[in-house]
Amino acid sequence: MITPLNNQDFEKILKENHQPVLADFWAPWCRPCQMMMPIIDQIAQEYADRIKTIKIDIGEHEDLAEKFDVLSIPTFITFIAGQEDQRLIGQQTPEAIKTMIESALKKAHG
Amino acid sequence: MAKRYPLIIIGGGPAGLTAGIYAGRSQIKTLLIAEQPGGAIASAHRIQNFPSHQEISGLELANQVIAQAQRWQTEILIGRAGRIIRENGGFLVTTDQGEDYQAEAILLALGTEKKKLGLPNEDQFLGKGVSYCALCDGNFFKNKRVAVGGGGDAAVTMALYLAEIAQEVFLISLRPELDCSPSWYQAVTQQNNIELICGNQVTELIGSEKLAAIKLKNPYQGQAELPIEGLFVEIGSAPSSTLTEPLGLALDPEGFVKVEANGRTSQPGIWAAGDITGNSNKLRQAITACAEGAIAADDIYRYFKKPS
Repeated sequence: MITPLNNQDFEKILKENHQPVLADFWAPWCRPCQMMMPIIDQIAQEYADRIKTIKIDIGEHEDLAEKFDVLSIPTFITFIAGQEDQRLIGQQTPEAIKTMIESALKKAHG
Repeated sequence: MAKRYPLIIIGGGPAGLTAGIYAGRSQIKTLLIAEQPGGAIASAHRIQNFPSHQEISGLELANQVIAQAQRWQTEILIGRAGRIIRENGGFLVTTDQGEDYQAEAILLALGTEKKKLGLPNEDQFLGKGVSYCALCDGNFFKNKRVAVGGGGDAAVTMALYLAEIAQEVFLISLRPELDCSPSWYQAVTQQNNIELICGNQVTELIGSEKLAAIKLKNPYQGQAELPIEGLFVEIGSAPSSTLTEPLGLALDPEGFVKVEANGRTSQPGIWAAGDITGNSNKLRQAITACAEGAIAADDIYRYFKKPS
């Protein structure tokens, strides 16, 4: 399940969440981002018990885009224990996203 | 067992979607497979030459045409057709996700792919200052200095869009003059924060973590390097050959699919429409793509109707 980042503190989520986190930086005006939504939604459901998926509207959270050096959307970042693991920029295949998640899971569980 | 459709359209820009509308109205059960329904038009900032709309964003126009195609029962599958082969008198289309679909006829409406500058470190700066979508990424460059590489209609509209956000926009065209319509030329020359640099080109991307400057072939105002934080590339597009070559389609020297006036390609059962063809005098506008899609779908209807 994808959690939209509303008024929550993303860094608190990163700090307190014990599972790897997949962050989807997007914006409503970005067509490739919209195309990725159903794919990310499906992947989030598939991995619901193993990762936390957060979507971050950069129009509402410019500060986070700046903090994480996001200069192009969509950008997908995996975090392990609050630290960035990998990032993918632009429209991606479901396989590419899953490979990134599997890699994060493998590292997270040693 | 693979799901069977009389018609599978590959590509979801104006040509493919219009073909879907016409096929639906002819009661041809149609599957449309597209990575990005709406196609390239969805990334256009402003469209002022599509009849019935004084001005419309590409995204809005794309959404309207998608809804119209769906209204006529065109099934839209978001994905990439990785392979098409002939099988049992028809075609087998396999997506990158490994799903198989059978078709009696294929319409290729794949459009074209954006060209890159071809600089050695271009991919390294993707998401670090280099972008191919101003509409997606323009907001990251509020009050900053950016450049647009290109001189056609798409590059000029990209520069005009960025001029609303950025502090200063340098429009760098390889040709000595912009290759855009007179109305866009007038608009861009009246915009006081757009600087035209014609007859020049980007030869190097400079920066460590992020893009910091570009090097130009010819010095600009005595300087070889131009400090900017964003470079938007819009230098045209080329047809993709990943599906057309294995199918053995006749292509022109630039790789565009050769088609008859009715959209038929050199291979039986395969039609092509839109920017991927050499048709419509290569004007490559949404309206010509729509027309080609309509003509091809009508011919496919006649093909199905012919007495066996």
